[in-house]
Amino acid sequence: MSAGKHRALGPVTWLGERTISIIDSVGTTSLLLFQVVRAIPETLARKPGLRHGWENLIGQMRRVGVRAVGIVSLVTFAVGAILTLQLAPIMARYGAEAQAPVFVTISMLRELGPLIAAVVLTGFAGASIAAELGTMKVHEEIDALRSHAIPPLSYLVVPRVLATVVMTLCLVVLANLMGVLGGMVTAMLVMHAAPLLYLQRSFEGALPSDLYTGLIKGVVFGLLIGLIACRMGLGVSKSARSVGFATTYTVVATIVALIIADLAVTAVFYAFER
Amino acid sequence: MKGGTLIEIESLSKSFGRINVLRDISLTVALGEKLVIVGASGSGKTTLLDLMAGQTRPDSGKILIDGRDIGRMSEREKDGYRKSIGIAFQMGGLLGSLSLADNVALPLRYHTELPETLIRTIVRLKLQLVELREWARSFPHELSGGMLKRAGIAWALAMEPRVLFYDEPTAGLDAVTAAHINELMLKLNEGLGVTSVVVTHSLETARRVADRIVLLDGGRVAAEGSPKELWASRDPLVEQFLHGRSRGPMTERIDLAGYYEDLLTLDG
Repeated sequence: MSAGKHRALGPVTWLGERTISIIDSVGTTSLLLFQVVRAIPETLARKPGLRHGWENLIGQMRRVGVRAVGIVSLVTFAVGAILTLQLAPIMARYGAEAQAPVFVTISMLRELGPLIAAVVLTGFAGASIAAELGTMKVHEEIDALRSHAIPPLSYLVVPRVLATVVMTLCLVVLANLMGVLGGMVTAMLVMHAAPLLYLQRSFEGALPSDLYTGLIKGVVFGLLIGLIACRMGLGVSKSARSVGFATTYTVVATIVALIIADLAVTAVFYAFER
Repeated sequence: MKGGTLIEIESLSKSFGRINVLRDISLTVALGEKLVIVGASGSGKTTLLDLMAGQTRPDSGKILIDGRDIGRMSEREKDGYRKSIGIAFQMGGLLGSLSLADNVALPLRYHTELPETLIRTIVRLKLQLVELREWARSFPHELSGGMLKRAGIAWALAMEPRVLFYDEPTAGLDAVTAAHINELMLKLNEGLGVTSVVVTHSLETARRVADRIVLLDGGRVAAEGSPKELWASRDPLVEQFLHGRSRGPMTERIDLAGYYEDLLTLDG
């Protein structure tokens, strides 16, 4: 092939390679999900090592979620406050200022609570899991586990994925509460709203399905964070450079995947609720 | 040779992509033997160890242990085999998040239902064997290179293995610490009757530890024998390796085929 023709095909080759890479990522992550689901009983219900499996899971939950509590609280409190400040004057234009608490609460429950909790957890847990597993691979720790007939899947991946799902759900609930609280405090301070009235209006307008939608998103987001981080960490080649790449790529790929999954789940709920 | 044959390798080959790492290897390991595999970097030593330890699958050939082919074992059978062996990794392989004692206890907690008090006693015994009992609560990052290697050996001993595979046990250590590790390998082989397969660059380790040495070159067995036989050998390849000469059969095989074509067709 001549050099000119080669150059002309460059963008096509690039697009083809990107497409194959995305299909490969989706495929391997789905396969990992299948393997994780299959390995859960082996990890948590197997008689030898039973106590060990649960201790490992609880340890991971503490590690994955607890550090994110403060930052999720702060960010969602601020987002609730911002939403109130943004919405109140606009709604006042239409004479619907009293409905602002409902909009803030529904936005937090359905969308912002789960998404913000997941993005913060991606930075905390996703990057940390990918870096940890990648470093373990470089230091032969994964090979050593395998040599002791301890499957890395049930010892390392399952506890991390389950811990990420459970802790994302807990953080979604916290994010929802803090968002509503942020909105209420801002309404009290700026608009001199009565707190009880604000809360009453908030929860009168919100439906249980608003809460469930957010919680289901939390489960999907938690799975994505855990699976992508574990896949990237275990996919590291035995070099320090690839650990850095895996960590960065985990954060970028997870945030993109979260937004796409958010759109997909929202579209499914829209179809059901119409 | 000490006892009967424990591991038998027949016509073993392994490639990674287009690179043939091992070609038609055949050798045996006797029960209780100390076999040392030496060779230049890239000669296939670690790949051979990984295959013998069931860490990777061969492309062709057989690795028989007690007459059963590791390459044909199911994952469950292979796990059973892995529990009967130990690997002391080059970098120790210890989990950085666990203390030394918890690392050694991990396989016992995972695979057995032994009471915790008994597990702690076994851990103390293993750590005493490698003279690290007082470091039980330390984490791997708090240990020196030599201590990490010894800790890796203690971890490999956790499940009472029949065979212990050592991957470069003295690499990166000073002469005194390396001698200490060599003595430890001899002590474990003689005291516990563990068959030892050692992969090393170190001729000192090979000379001190080996009952038999296998020299790999270009993925093939180039020579085999006791340390005395190998050091008495007049084979130019063996002499080059043992005396560390830069010129000889090992270094005269650099493939120039296609080199000039490559130079002329570089188009940036």
